Amino acid sequence: MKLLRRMLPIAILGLALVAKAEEFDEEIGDDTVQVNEVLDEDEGEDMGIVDEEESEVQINTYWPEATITAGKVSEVLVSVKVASSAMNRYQFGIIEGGFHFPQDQSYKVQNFSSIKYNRDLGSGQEATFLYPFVAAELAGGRSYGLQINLAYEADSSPPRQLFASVVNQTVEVNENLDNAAAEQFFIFMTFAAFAAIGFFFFASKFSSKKPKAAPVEVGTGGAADASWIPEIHMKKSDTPKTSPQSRRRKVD
Amino acid sequence: MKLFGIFALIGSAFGQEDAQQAPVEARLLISKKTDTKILAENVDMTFTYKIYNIGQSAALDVEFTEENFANDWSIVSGDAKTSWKSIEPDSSVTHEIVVKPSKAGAQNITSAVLNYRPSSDSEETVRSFSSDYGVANIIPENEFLRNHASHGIDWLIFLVLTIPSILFPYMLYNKSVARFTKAKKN
Repeated sequence: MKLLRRMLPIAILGLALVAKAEEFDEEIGDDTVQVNEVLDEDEGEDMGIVDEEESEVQINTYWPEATITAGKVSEVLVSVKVASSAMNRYQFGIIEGGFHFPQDQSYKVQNFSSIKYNRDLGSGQEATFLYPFVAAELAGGRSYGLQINLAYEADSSPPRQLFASVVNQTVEVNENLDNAAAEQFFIFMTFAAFAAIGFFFFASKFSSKKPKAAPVEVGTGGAADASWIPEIHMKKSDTPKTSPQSRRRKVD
Repeated sequence: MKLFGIFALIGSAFGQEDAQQAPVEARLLISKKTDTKILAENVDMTFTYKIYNIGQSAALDVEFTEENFANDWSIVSGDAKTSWKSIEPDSSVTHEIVVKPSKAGAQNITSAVLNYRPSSDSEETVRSFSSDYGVANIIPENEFLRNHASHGIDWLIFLVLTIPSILFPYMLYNKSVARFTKAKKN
């Protein structure tokens, strides 16, 4: 009895939830059917346009250098080809890109300068775009998600602005090792200096504490040796030792 | 398999590789670059064209035409028009042209054009544009020479002008020293 009482509110809650869920399911069920229908109606057109876009312009990339080094210019070659069966002309506009965190697409770490190419291609033509970018010096030593996009325009009756993601992959950015030798040398020198200071400090601490006997000053005894002075300077002077003023007073 | 191996090599620095289908026919990429740092009038500039074939078949009857250097430029060495019989897949070809601008100012340097047959059974040639260089700011010759010439004559004149400032005090010093050395001899 007690048990039942305790379970009752939970049971009611459970039942209510289940009922609601069922309702929900039914609604969703209905909705999904409707959504599907809507999709089916447009599917032909949408897919058709997407197919047309994708097949008309083919984009490939090529990396002349296989590695990206921080602080140095990296290049990617983007090749675009307009299919021979294409109906429109295409204007290729801007390539821009950036680094983002590998796991988080929205957190941008670095944006690269966008470069505007004005290339107009008709059917059956191809072009190559050279997109240089510089990974910041501080980006060295870890991997980032590199994203490079190409914005272009189709020359159809309403002109279509199109956007292709040319590169979308995680890349490892190598550190710039140009100054590595100099940096290592200075680090070593710093440690050596600290070691030397420490050594002398502790050496003086643990050396013998006996103070050196201070030399006793005696002073010059006896007359100085005057033999080095030439004779010409050693004449005794005939002048009196008292001043003329005092001599005058005495006389007065 | 070979293609996979090459992609694996190239992708070794990269993480997940985007699944980009290598074209079945030949596809040529041409990059046009210069390593010359100083762009000045009457100073040689070297343009390097690197042609890569990223397709799976060889590109045949490749014809290269560079029309940018027809006016206001003179070609020192290299050919503005050249051709290759075929470029194998996954291989590259390099071509160099050394040119000399004869006019100063901002000059727009656009693309070179390649015409090639993407496969042995296609008769039509594909027209491919290289990457364009952009605007080159050519500095006038006198400014370039002011900064980068050896200025040999200027240095020579400078050395000649310093001679009195050194010679005159030296002569005075010599005169003073001569007095004392003469006394010692005596």
